[in-house]
Amino acid sequence: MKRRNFLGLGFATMAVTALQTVGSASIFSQHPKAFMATSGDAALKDAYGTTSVIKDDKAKLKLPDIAENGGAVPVTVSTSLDNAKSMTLIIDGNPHPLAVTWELSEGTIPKFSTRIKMRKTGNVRLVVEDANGKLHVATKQVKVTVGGCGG
Amino acid sequence: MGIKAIAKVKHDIATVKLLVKHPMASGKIGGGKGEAKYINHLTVKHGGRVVYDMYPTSAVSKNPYIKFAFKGAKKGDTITVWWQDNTGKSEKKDIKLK
Repeated sequence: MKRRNFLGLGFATMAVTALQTVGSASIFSQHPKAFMATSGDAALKDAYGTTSVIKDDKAKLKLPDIAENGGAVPVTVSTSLDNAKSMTLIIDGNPHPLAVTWELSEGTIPKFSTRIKMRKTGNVRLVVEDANGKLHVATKQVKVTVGGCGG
Repeated sequence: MGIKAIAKVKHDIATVKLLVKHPMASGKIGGGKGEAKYINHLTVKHGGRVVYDMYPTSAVSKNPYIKFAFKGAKKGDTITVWWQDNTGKSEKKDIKLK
């Protein structure tokens, strides 16, 4: 291989690497502190740089009114916003309220289900980051009969 | 460890249900003496593109259940589920869409 071609290849590789780094930017990699925050608002501030949110129906949160077992509470999060960037689930009554973040990409239908642990009765918040970086929130109170943070 | 999956395609939309065997331990049991061990990143790829990108914590229940859907899939396509936990352990599994 000629020296000039070899150099060109090197630059091409660098460009690809740079693109990949940008593509994989996530709240987890850029704001790891948010996951260790001990209050819901601190987690929000660490993750998104603000606690100012829009309360509307763009963020949707489905949870039971009463959870008999705080160790496994079924939750479904979704948004009607096109091109939303991320979704974050905050459980205010937990020692570390930031429970999950999802990074959204093209082709992914932004509706996810999982099961979460809740230590005690309290609010669960879903924060959706829209294409302009604005935050939309849905809040739901869940009564927990038996807490589930052990384990 | 282990990943169980049901993945079905209908009208180019794939619906994926996963059950991942993992303790998801917060390390707070018995006065905080246990060891924290939980999945902190889980992705699903379809033909090289990421179709699911989740950053869980120990607030996700033991043996996590995950459900999601994505567009642009065909029967017979393969998706790759990968996770990593806070101790550096990871697992990868290919699943065929039905």
